Amino acid sequence: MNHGTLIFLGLLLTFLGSWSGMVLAPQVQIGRQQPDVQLQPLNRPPAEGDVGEIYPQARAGIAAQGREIYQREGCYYCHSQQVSPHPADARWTQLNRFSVHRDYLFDQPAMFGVQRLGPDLSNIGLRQPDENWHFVHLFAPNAFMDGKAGNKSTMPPYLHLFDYRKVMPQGGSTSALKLPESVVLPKQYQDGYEVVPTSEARALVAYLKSLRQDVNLFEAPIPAPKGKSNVVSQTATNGAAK
Amino acid sequence: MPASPSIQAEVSREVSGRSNADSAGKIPLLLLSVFGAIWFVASAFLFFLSAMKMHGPNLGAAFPFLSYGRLQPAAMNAFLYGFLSQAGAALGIWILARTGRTKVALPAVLTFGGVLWNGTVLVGTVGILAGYNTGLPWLEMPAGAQAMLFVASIVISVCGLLTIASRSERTLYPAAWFIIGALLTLPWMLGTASWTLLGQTVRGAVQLSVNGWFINSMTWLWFGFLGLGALFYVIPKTSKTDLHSRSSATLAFWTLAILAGWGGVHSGAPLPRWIITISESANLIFLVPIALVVHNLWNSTDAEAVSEKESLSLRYARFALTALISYALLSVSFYLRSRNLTLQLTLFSPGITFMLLFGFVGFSILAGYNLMLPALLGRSFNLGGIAVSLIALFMTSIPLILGGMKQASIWGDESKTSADVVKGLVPYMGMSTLGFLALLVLSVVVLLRIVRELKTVVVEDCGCATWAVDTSESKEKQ
Repeated sequence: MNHGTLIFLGLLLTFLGSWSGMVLAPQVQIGRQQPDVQLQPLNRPPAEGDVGEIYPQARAGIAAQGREIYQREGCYYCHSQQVSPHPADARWTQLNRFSVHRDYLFDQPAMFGVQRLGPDLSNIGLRQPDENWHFVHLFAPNAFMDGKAGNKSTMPPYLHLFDYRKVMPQGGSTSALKLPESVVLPKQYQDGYEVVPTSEARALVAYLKSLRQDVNLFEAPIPAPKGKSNVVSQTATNGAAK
Repeated sequence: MPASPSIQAEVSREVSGRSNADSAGKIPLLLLSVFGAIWFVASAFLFFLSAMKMHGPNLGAAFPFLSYGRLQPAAMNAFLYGFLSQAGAALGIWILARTGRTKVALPAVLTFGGVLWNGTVLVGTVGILAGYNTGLPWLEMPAGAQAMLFVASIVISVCGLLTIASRSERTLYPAAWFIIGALLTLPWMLGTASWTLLGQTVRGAVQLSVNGWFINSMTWLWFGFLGLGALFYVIPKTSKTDLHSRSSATLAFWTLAILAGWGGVHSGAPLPRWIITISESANLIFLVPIALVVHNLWNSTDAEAVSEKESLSLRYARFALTALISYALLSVSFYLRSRNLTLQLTLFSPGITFMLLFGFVGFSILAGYNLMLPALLGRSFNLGGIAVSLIALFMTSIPLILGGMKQASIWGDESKTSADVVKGLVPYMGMSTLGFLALLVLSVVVLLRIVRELKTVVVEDCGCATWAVDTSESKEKQ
């Protein structure tokens, strides 16, 4: 093997091989997949008059801005956004539905996550719809630890997403955080101050609340609850087959 | 008995070839090497800070750039592109010039490429810390920086390839195959990833497949090939033996080249099953070329090294081989589907990745540095630091691997919460933090050693030493 040309051509071929398999082929097979119209859109039984809903839809407005904050802060280094079909992953989905390509169609980039130092967030919007909970958790991640000895979070507090504001004489702001007693503010803010989320915090929480993979898809059906027929899955399957 | 004339001529040709190779490329190769060492310190410092954040997440909470989510990608990118890539490229081009008995081609252009590369990595790392993260693992630097990195990679690769193209020694040694392979594929990989991922030409889960392809290709075709190129040069040279088997090296080279891009997708990815199955198979078959390489090189290390300097290189090389085979064995258990589904998003993955990147590639580079830097500077010295480097490797990788297994078992138990995960990981993270501290110490030791030798050479070259003596003498007279 003394000819550089041979090495060049050989490497070009091997490189093209893996490029075709891992870049081109997936793009051809699923890259052009389109959103689907689901007869039974959300986590509820089909009802008369359902006209369907397009899934997925691009995140609108403030939630789209929140995705950029999530990206900027590198949240994907500790939180994944992918549920595999493995039983151990069932804890991340209330509906026992795993993630598929279609769930990420409008996420550029899709942040699947590097590791799970914290919980998977694919369905955090379903699991925790309370806005105040998210704000408090971002401001003081230890606030919701159950108080057992040694329980603590490794998540950093995102203080730059919040402002301390003097409480006005006419009363506190409606957007101020409802902090649990376990959260102690710095000394200088303990009297007459409230914590208010910035627009970035609002955007991030709107994004987190928008994270929900709860639509019944042909390629990822939601199993019927025990003892009930899988009307939902069947409907969607037939729809997709057509 | 005096040496025969033919042997004397051969020795003279060898010495003259080495001298040519070293003098022509001295400035760009030293630039890349020294800045590589500086980035080693910077990345180790960032790794240490991010590890500290696991114990004290409130540390520096008022400063957004000190959050784990910014520190960790900044550390990783500085380590990959600042240290490993730059130091590996310098070493690779030096080996090409040495084995080809030629001069480094276009040294001025290579210097420009080095400056461009460093400027880009600096902008990219600061960009990540400042919040301009692209959100794509191993491609986190802002898109503009990625584009500049692509341009710099072309400049550096062209200089390396022109160096080997102008060789006077027609035989291409296995070390050169791997380095040529690395230099050829780097711009392709960076270009494709920038075009598809940062250019947003693919969407949905295809991004996961492309990102996995990029990471795996970079791991093996760039970092892995640079590491192997270094070992295939260092081991026969320091052992004063021929390579055990050239045909085995050929087989390993092509098997690695064919498999490299296929293994980047984990078992639970939201992708079609055939992609996952191919990826799993490629990861398992990888054991074959790795076994070939380790067997081949280990059998080339039988002879006793002759000098202390070469002995240190050989020891680094042997530890690099040990890390490579350890990675291969661990990765078999990692990539089996049943295991991968639980271990895929745990600390196990960064643990074995670090074992490969630092234990194998990093040690190979240090083995080569120990030969290259004294040759470039024209001084005999040892880099040292082998004990600290072993502590750093052992204390970073092993706790992460064990911690990953613990993490998988806790997440697998539905009664356990994320607080239990944190509690379970504390001892492992504590160990790995000490490991990153050892890494920082090692990087500082290496940098200080290089700077000290460089300073001595600069002082000698510019005659400052004589000037200093003159000055002190004149002071005495006064």
